[in-house]
Amino acid sequence: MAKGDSSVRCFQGLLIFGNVIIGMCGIALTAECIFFVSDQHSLYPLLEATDNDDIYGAAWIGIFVGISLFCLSVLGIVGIVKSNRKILLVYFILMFIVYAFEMASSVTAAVQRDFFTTNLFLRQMLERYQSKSQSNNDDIWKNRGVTETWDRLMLQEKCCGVNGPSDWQKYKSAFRDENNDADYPWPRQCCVMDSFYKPLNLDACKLGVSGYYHSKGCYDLISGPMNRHAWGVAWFGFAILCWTFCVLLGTMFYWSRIEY
Amino acid sequence: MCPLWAVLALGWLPLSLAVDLEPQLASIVFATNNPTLTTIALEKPFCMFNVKEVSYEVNLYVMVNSVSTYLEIDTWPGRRSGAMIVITSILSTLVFILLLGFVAAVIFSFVSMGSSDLETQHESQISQEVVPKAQGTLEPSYSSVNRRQSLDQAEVYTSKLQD
Repeated sequence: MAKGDSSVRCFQGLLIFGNVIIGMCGIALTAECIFFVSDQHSLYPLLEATDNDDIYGAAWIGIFVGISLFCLSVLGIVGIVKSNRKILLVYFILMFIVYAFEMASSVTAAVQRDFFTTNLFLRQMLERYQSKSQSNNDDIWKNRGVTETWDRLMLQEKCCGVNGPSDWQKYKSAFRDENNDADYPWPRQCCVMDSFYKPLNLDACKLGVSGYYHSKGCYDLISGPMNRHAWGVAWFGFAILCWTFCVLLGTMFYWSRIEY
Repeated sequence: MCPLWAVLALGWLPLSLAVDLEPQLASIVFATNNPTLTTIALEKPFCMFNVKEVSYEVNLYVMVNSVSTYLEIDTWPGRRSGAMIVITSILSTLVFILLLGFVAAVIFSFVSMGSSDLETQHESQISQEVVPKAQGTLEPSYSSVNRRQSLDQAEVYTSKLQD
């Protein structure tokens, strides 16, 4: 075999290896994005209410991109083995489209993560928790989502408010509009509960005797999963795109050297 | 915890007034233990008795401050994070380089196709006629590798036929 042949074979092997990695990463990206979209912590209603749920859009795009990358990597391997210009041209065009989508998904997830401040969730909680405003169906739906999510969060995670129970006293809120301040300095879910989900001592909870109410804020428990979601989609997508960039450049060089 | 007894006292206020208030700690100068004064002590709850006119009336004093409405909460995230800038700038650069590379590959392939069209036809005729021993002379090309393989097979078949 000539030296030329072996170097060509070697280059083909390298490109095939690159495409195999792209295929596997595509499947991994799909799995990761399906996991995020399934919303294991049931925090989606909070984002929906803030109109800031683009990290879910990014994850949906990630699912589509992952499957496409897998299929295109198979196409790329076939094109390289057969040294067929047409197949590789189709591969390039489709890869560009998928590259653009994945870039959009990655950038969106990275940008939206910046919005998850304490004030964002605080404002939503004060505005919508137990709010009875009925201006339109969208409003009703969002209020219900926020109320149910906060009730579940405060009960399960044993926390109160975004920064702490004082959130309910420092600001006006829909909750204060609906309830008597003396009976409800903060929601009942902030009280320490017994095994039947009744407050251990209701008066002690209302007075703020330590040990009978949750003094911890819920912000870490909300932002933790959301940050992991956003970072997972953004940085894994970025890594895949860096690798795909190298493989695409190599394949373009290979394509330009194929003779008709 | 902030004076929580103040919250209980607020219960006596009409509901509409209470929503606009939050309990507050007063300045330390107000802390006094003298029940005859009418100043307000807030470190501990104090019951004020009116000793001049004996009565059973007890007054509980609170200090309150008006609260801010949630509409005033600033939800702007502030400055952009490094992650967003890194990802956006690097990916944009990569896309640009990819597009350049693709254009270059297309141009290069058209140029090489145009200039070596006749040479390619000539070479393929040569490689089909001659037994493929002279590997060094022929320029290695990706499609000719496959042709050479099929030529090897053809040679084996022809040699078998001859036998």
